[in-house]
Amino acid sequence: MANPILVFENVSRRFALAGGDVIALASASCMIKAGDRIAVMGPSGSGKSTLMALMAQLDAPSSGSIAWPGFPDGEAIRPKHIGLSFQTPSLIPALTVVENVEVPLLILGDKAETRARAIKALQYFELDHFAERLPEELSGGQAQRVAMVRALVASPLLILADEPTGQLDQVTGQSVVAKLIKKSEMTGAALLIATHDQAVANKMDIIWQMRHGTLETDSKIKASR
Amino acid sequence: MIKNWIGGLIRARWPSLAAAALGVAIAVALLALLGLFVAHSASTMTARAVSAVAPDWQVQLLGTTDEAPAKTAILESTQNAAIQIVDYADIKGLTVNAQGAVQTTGLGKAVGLDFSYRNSFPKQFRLLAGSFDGPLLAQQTAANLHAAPGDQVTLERLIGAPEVITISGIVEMPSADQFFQIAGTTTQSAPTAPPDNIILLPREKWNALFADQLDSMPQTAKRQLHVGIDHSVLPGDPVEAYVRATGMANNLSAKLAGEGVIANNLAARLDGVRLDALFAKVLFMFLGVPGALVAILLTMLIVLSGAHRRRHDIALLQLRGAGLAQTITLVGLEALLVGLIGSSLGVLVAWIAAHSLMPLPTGPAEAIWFVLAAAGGVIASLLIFLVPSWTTLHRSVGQNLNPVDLHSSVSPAWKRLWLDVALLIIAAIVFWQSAATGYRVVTAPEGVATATVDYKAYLAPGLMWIGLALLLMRLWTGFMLHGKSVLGIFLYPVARGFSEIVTASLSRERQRVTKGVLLVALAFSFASSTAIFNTTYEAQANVDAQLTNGADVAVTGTMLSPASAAIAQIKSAKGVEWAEPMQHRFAYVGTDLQDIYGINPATIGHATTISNAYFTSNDAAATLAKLQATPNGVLVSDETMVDFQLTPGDALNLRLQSAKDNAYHVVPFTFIGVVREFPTAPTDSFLIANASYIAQATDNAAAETVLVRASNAPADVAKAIRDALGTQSTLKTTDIGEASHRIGSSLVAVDLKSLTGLELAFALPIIAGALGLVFALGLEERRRNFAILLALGAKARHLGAFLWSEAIIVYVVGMVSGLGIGTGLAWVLVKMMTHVFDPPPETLSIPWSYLSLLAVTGFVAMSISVLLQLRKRSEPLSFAIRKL
Repeated sequence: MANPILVFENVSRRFALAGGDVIALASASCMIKAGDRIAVMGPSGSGKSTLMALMAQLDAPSSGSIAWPGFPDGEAIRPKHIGLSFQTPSLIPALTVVENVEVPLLILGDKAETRARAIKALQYFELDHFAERLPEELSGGQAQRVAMVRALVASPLLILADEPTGQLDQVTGQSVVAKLIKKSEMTGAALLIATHDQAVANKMDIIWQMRHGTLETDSKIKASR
Repeated sequence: MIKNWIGGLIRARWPSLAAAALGVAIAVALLALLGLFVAHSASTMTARAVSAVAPDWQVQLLGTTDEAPAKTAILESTQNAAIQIVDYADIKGLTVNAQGAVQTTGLGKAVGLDFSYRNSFPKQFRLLAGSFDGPLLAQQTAANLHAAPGDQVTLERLIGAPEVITISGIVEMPSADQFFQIAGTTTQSAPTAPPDNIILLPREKWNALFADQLDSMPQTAKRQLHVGIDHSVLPGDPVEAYVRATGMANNLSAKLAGEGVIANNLAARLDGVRLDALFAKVLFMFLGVPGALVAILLTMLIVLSGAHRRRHDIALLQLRGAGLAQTITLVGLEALLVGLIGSSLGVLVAWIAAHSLMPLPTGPAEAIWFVLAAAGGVIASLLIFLVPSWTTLHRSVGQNLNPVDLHSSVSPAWKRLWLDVALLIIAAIVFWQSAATGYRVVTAPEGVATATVDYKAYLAPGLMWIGLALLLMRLWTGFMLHGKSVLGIFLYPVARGFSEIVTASLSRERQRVTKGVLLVALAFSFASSTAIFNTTYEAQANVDAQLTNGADVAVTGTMLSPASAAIAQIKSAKGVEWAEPMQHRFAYVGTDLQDIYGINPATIGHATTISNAYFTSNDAAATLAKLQATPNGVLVSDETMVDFQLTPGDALNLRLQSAKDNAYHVVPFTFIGVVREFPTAPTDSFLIANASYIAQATDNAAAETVLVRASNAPADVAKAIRDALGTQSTLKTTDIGEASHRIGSSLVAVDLKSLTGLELAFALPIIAGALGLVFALGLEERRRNFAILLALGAKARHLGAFLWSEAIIVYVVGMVSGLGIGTGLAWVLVKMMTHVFDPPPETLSIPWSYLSLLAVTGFVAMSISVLLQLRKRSEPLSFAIRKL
């Protein structure tokens, strides 16, 4: 059995707003192991993005504990161990496609052939011919795929993708998810996708449900695993 | 709705509103203080100028010796006038028989006046020896006769027997030209060379001796009324004061109905000052307006930084059915709010600065400057907000909601039309034209009430400023586009591994970065041009004052009582760094009596500044070396060279007074060069020669003047010298500060310190604001990018690579370009103000310490701005990500 790389124990996230406290995540407990492929489903506002932000250390819990036992202590977890893509394409407008993809490698301090690695990553998603384009010259779907490449380029151990197919047509979406899965299989990375799309979720081994901030991790565990 | 809109703006966007209001406040305060300073300096110049005039009018009686009707007419024309009767008579000469030698002068003048004359016009005479109690001899006459108080002088009259007069004192007549002028038929004074021989007699004595001559030979004797008018009736502005002084004299002239003509010394003096006043206005505009413009540009930058948000707001208003008028009203309200708050703050700052720091008058008469500046602030605010919003207001909702293409490849119109180069060419042509006319920016034809400013001359520095700014934009955007590799090398130490993508990013955002560079360059150019001009101005004012006074301190005596006799006491005084004797004698060039200065060419420069501009050779060192190498060499004025058709190497025989027999003897000199100016020398003709040669030729090694370079404050050193000389000394000790005041109405005497001090003080926050707020441009986009980078795992140092790189580009390029533009502007300004300086400066004086302060201020502001942007976010990163 694979070792856990991320463990949530009774994690809650509460936001103090003018109209009163909002509980975005309530006492969530879960575990992600290397190689897991998880879909998190739930309606808008159910807490999926909050869950992913906590996993990626973009936010801190109000209570409970989060541990990343799979990652060495004292090391920054992004982008080396966690690669993430957001709901919106979120590319840096002043950088070309290849420069955007190169950013995680530069953050890691890689000096060798970062450009070549970025191009290779783009080739995997058949985006290399867009390498010198600026984000404003891409469609929303293309930009979303570039953002996905950027999440994967540093070969992280955990890939977090928030609505990766939200701006893609069904065929392209399926293709992207397939590539994501294949990539994670190649590197042994865990993959967690937040999605509304049942078809996408069905490609995952595990499906978690989010309802009003409550995480149900025993919703579905696919037998095919 | 309006109330809600305003309330919402204040609650949600108070920081940007406050920053914009601050920009308006700086511009308003600067403009208000500028106006106050111009008005105040003009009235100061008037007051100084008229205080130096004595008497204001010289009314010469025609065809009558009865002064009563003229007195009545004067008192009708101007109340509280001081009136003195002064009589003039030509005389054959004066003779003194002293110690067995007889000294005789040529033609001269005997003047009759009451003892009370000194009370009415105390600046006309300065007692050098003896007392005022009886007949007086002018300094030069006493020197010619070798006469001293107590000596008996025989006065040879045109009519009647010679009269023996006992001399009571020797006096200097600082305004002898004016005192002996011939009152003409115009209202202008016509100063003429004073007579060589002058004796001043009590009026009773003069009447006893010359009453017959006055009646029978009116062409050789005349009666004048010297009038001092009440200066409080004159307006503060020199131009208006000139018009008033001329009008009053015309009124009197009409009343006199041909019984007298007026020499209007007051109008003549104001005539010169009005020119200076216009120069001052031009100068203050050149120095001050760019600062206000930069402050407005700064405000524009702040407002433009919110353009995206405003476009969005307008789109939402349009979505909810707001019409054009309603939308304009709401945007206008934001502008009005900023304008009113900024203007109020600016007026308050200006009032406090004027009232407490400068100080400048802030009475009801000055309120107009506050009102004008505040109105300007509100109008500027409305324009800054409404003009950029105009396009937005006329676009559809969809267009306003779409992001703007930040990387447009279309060049702006000015670039395509090469407006920058065109402006610089026009500036060069205008400047060349100004140079061709001797930089006559201001002209005030003598006797014509209206003075004119060549406003076209404004174009040269104005267009140069704009042209250089646009050229900077062209060059810098071009460099950022094509010189990425070079830029990357420079940025590597800051951006390290990120240097390539940072350079690429900045290159693509070159329009925005260049706007920042431009703003910083303009701020630095304003500050540096003002500072460089001010320092050059101060240095030249010092040279001018040195030229007038001779040195930091000058000790002046006479031939009878030379200052060199006291050189030991002078040298012993505290703070005397160098004491240099300088002869001041008189020599005849043909029949023309001129001042001759005997110097030691090797050492004169230790005591005072000998500027290159003093000589037509434009090389002081070479000219003095030539004089030193030619013992009988003499430098003459341009006028003398032309009058006597001299060429270098010509023999020039001068007549100098010998100490052996007090008679004038021919002394051969060799003409070696032309001198334009020299410390203490008059502005017209004079001569410079070797002191040793003059001493040998006249058997008199004494030096009438001692020039002193001070190591302490000149006023303190002058006091120490006075103390060392003792109270009985007749030597006159003056310091450079007194000279500055004495040159009175000259523009160089105007104290620019408070204005430039104020501007330089404003320059610091403007530069700090420019560098601090330059990141306001593209702030929203930067926030978004930083959120992405942080989410990807970037650390502060990675964000810093972007921020510091941009900041350093903006700071270094902006500062260096700004200092370059500022130096160029200062040079043009100094050239165009050539007539302000006497002599013009040879080089610009660079205020390194102030420029360093500017650089440090800019660096600190830039660093604070970068660090504030790098500080820990107040909201979780997950929130920022959701806003992407």
